[in-house]
Amino acid sequence: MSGYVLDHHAVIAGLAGTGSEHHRREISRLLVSAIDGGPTVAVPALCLAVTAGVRPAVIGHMADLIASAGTGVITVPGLERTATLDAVREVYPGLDWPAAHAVAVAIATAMPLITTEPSDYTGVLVDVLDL
Amino acid sequence: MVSASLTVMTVDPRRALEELCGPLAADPVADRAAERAVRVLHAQAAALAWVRQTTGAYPAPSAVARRLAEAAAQLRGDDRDPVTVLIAVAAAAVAEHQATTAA
Repeated sequence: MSGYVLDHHAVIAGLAGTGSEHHRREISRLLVSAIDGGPTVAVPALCLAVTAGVRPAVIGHMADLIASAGTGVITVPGLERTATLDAVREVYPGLDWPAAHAVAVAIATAMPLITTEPSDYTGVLVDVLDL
Repeated sequence: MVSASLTVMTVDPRRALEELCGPLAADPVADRAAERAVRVLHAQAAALAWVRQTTGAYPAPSAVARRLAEAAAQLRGDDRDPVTVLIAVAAAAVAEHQATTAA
């Protein structure tokens, strides 16, 4: 199963109203594509939490979407201590927690990470896509 | 005896999506641009997966990823088939990378 991990920059730009109209449309189409059987979308919990700080209503709307879409189509992976997370924190101490969580999920699933700030991940060993 | 009932609200996913993202279709020109951007994104992800399957490398070597990102940026503004173009770019970049590392 192919899919994407959205970091907090992408989620805020697309869902919190702070990004461009193009970002909003692109994120919405990524989610439509997932619902229609395309690549899945994972929004790490810390990335969603940061977005909720900007737009609190995003929590309820995201929950409605996850609950109404197919199983595993759109997910919010929780933060847990794993060897991958430990390694990410050790090797990339400059990443803040939302970014570290997104990287850990991307590595664990071998899915590309989508962001609006690809330069934040320079030198980080994940496949990064610019939204 | 008190009986309790559990009500499960069923929400149409597209309606939930509109609540989350706003109107899904409004401006045909902007919609086409976003659809094209997502199509290119899917193709770029497919090319990265092809690199992983072909070379066993995850993530893709930085030189290969850079070439794919450059080609993907160009594809957002034209009508070429993104999968065909990006797989070809990936194949050429991988060959170049392997030749460089073998030298």
